[in-house]
Amino acid sequence: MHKRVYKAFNETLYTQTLANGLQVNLLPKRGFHKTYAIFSTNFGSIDRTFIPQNETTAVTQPAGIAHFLEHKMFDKKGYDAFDLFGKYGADSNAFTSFTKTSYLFSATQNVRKNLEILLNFVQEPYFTDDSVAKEKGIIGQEIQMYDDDADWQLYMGILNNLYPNHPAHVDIAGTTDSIDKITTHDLYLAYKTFYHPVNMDLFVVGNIDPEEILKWVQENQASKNFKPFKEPQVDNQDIKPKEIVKHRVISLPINRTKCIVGLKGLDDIPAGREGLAYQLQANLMFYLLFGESSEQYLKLYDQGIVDDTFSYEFDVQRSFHYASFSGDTDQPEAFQTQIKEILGQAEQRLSHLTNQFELAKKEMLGRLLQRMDSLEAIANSYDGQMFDQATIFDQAEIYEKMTLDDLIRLAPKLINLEGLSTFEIRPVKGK
Amino acid sequence: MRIQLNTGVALTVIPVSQFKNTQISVHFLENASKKATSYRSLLANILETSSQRYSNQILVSQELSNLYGAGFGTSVMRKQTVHDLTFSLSLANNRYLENAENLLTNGVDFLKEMIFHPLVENKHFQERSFERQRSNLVAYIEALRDDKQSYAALQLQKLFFNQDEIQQIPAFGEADVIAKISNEALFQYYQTMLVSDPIEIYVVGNVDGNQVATLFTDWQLPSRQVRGIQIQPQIRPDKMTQIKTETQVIVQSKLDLAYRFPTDFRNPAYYAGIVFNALFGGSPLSKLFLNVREKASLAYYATSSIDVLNGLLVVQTGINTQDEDRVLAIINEQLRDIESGRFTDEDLEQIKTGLVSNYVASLDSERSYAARALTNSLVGSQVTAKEWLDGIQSVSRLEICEVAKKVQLQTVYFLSSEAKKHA
Repeated sequence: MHKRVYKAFNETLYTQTLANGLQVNLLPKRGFHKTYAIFSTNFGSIDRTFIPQNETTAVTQPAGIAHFLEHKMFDKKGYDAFDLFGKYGADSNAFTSFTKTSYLFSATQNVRKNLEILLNFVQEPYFTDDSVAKEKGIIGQEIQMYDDDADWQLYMGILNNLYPNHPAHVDIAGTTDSIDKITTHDLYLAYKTFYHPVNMDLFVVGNIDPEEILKWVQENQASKNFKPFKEPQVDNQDIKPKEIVKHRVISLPINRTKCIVGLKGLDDIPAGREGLAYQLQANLMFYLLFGESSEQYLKLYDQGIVDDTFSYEFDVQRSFHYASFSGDTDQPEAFQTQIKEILGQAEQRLSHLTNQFELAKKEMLGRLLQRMDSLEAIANSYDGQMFDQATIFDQAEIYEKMTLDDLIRLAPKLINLEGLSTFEIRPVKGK
Repeated sequence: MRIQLNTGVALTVIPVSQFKNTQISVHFLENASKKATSYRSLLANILETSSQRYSNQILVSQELSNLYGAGFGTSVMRKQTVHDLTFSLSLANNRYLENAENLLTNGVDFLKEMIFHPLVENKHFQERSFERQRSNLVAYIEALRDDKQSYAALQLQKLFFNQDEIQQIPAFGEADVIAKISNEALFQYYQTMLVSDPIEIYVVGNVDGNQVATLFTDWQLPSRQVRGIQIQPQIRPDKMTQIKTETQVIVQSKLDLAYRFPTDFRNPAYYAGIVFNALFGGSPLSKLFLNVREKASLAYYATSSIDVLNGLLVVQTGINTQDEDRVLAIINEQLRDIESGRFTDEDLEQIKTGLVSNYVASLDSERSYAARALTNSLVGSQVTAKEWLDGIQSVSRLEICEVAKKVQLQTVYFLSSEAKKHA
């Protein structure tokens, strides 16, 4: 087992790639009471068009398939995995993102048993027509709940604008129409293409003995047979990246206008750790330009153009990346113009922010420490293959090495005004 | 370690070595009133964003960066009759940072500045900051109407407590009251609060109790009268069931129910009440989750929660409009099933195991230590982890049936979508 000591944080990470290809990461946390385990596959909502294992032509599956599969995975022949976890005192859950599906549990007892339940239920697919039909009701309600969530509609709205030719524009859960088309056969096909140890990783953190956990996982995996596996061939290419919707407005029964500005990354993100450095640099850059300690933010706040609902986000996913700036506002035009202006002048502004940059690095380091007190934050921030197995503990080193010049060099690459778009939700008049 | 710094001012230090951060919270407590609830909510916003030394948000957040990304915030909440205005600071521990020194001292100093030295001009808050925060808070409360799940919950609360002018309003106050607060009146209220509210301070983390005690003794907080802010559980009078339906242009309808929940605090019936709720709808293994969601496929969420101090049980669901009667019938059936003991020993064991597990897991969350200690202090009874866990384990089937028998439906609130069909 590979051992990596992070002396500054008094933490040790143990890693091992098993014979079947599964990447295992173990982090003991002394003094903690809970154990948290998360088992993820490199398969998310955007991975709809792919060449199935052992075939040669691509298929396109209905939107929402990865999320549907996640729900259905809990249903086993003769039992429900969720209930079984409950029986052994564990809380279990799962989530689907654009590029990943993750299954998890947390427990303060019966860790071995719960770990086996986790590995077994995810590695033994069992889908029937009846249960697939029934799930459509539950997921349909989940989708409808999001239909009424204006902030979610705002977020999906800007993705719609930025990615008309890329599957990121479709809601992770799909639509009531698209999930209606999902069949048992679709689920098996997706499962066989993406759920193989080679394409998966396991992260266990908490009150554990790493040697013991590894032994349990190895024994469990050795008892199963996996067919040879080919790296999934997925088509997520955005053929016309510069083709975006520049501006769109819709109305919903809400009380106040919501506004979002999106910036599509039209550049390429480097692979591995360099990619993580890119992400952290971009985060710090947007923090300097739009964070609560920036002059621009205060100016907008004092003019009433933004308020405490304002937030920004920079997201890097396999095959796409974007930044977004959103909030409730009574001055949507000013909101959009001002954000664009700040972005347009990013490079010049950054060069004057030497002191602020040093302060911001302190801030980021402290934030990392805060997340290190949360088992969930440690395990969930692991992005597996995308950043060459980097963990939260590697981020500190990247921040320490970062210079203001890195950010000044990054700005013109990432901020290409051809990738800018705005989306607005206005209140329905007379309501 | 609990130290009485002065009459009505107490410091509790809870040393826990597993954390890399220190969690500090300062609670100003007061017997809640309708008017003061809104005052305190606005006060929380103003004191969070500026002070004499840090006269705007940039300076506040730069100082927080300087404290290695310390998290600072104010919040308001209500525990039955007690309103709690909290200042909290989450601070990295020095020992994990190479060049940081005296972080705890500087952090406590920062808190003192934010609480006791606001940005003031002409004997009131700086006008510009006051106006901005007042209009932001009003806008925030108005915008909450857009979150339908919380909107429905607040409407239910209003109906259930229609005879109680304090409990029917949210802890963050009312927009129309806040809009009319004057700067002078708020400043006057603030000064009274500083000298008369009982204060509870909690510090949780890998800290030295004596060092912490010295830091807060230096605040020299004056003594204050403790005007009976202890909480007694209240059993609400039984009323006729009220039913209200409201229609809005939404996709998913919300069916929320409020029940009278007459269990006492920290006696056997109290523990039975906790187990009852987890069995009924308070956990993912509950009957509501299983029957409304998993079996009938009628909802994505169907949950229950209890407020023991207020004698209240609430059920929340998100459903299709046409399923209202069916869902209502299933909910009633679950209650009747528990009443007549229709649940297995295995169900009961699992529910208890889940509750025990959640409790132990909460020991990994720094915030939960202070929250628990504050509740103990307000209800005036200490309960150790062992007592609590034993209390849960010894709940019998019969005791759960007894709880279910006492539960009485009081209020049904249905937020209905217009007969619009989902696309």
